[in-house]
Amino acid sequence: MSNYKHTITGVDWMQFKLWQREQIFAAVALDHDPEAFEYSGQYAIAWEDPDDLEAPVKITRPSPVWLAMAMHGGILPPVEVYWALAADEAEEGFTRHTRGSLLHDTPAMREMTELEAMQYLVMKDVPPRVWRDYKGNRTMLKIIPVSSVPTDRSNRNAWRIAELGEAA
Amino acid sequence: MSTINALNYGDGTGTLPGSALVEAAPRAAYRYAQATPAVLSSYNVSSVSDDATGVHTVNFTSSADSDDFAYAGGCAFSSTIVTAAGMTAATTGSATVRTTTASAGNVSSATFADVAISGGAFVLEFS
Repeated sequence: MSNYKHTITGVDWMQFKLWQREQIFAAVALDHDPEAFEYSGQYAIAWEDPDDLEAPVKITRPSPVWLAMAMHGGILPPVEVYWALAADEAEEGFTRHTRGSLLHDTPAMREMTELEAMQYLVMKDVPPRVWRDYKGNRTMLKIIPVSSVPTDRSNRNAWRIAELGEAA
Repeated sequence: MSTINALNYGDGTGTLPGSALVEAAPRAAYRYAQATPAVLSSYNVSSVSDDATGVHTVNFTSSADSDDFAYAGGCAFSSTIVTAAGMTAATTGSATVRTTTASAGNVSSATFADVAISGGAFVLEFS
């Protein structure tokens, strides 16, 4: 049961490579609904890098197509697949991936809620040193409403995640 | 919520919507409005991070097989100011991009950044 506004049937997603699944998903959805990907989500990920504490906070937003696929289900691989590929790339002497089949052959994720999709995105696109390995007291990551992202970018490079009790 | 039967979009011989696959598509492409920030359109992009003024990082849904891929990007600051956007770092799963204004090469957040990434290959299966 899809959490996306449309449910696509008649496609055996697992017979296709991941990038093919996206092409099919986008083509079919847009053919049916020209506004299929107008929604880009109500959340953003605000995170700071423990390895560069002077750097401003980063704001990560999902792609509308990716978010739709995550909420639809049956298309995206488990996030552990990306961890495995990242581990391969971190190996000394890495030149190119040899375990690409993990992306395409691992049984796909079920449908996710929007918040679950954002949590998945944290584990996929935010470095583990932020969400897994950091042991300090400072808040390094928050999933926030998009409405709380400032619109005035005059001092963008001074943005930080406010600590509890800290003056805004 | 609606149900779409993809068979209706195919050639009627199987489960593949035959017209849906695009040959020789770019490996990834996106249009990004950093000021919002929002991804306005994309292919093979899971997310884009607004890192700092004039700097963003795009993350791929399907990783590239290596970090050697071609990048072509442009950005618009207004209807009359357009420049090229440059990739400054890459992994198989992401690319960091810098946008600069034309006059002094100052890093600045573009109204729109339009990017296509090609070359290399999607991660396939290799033994």
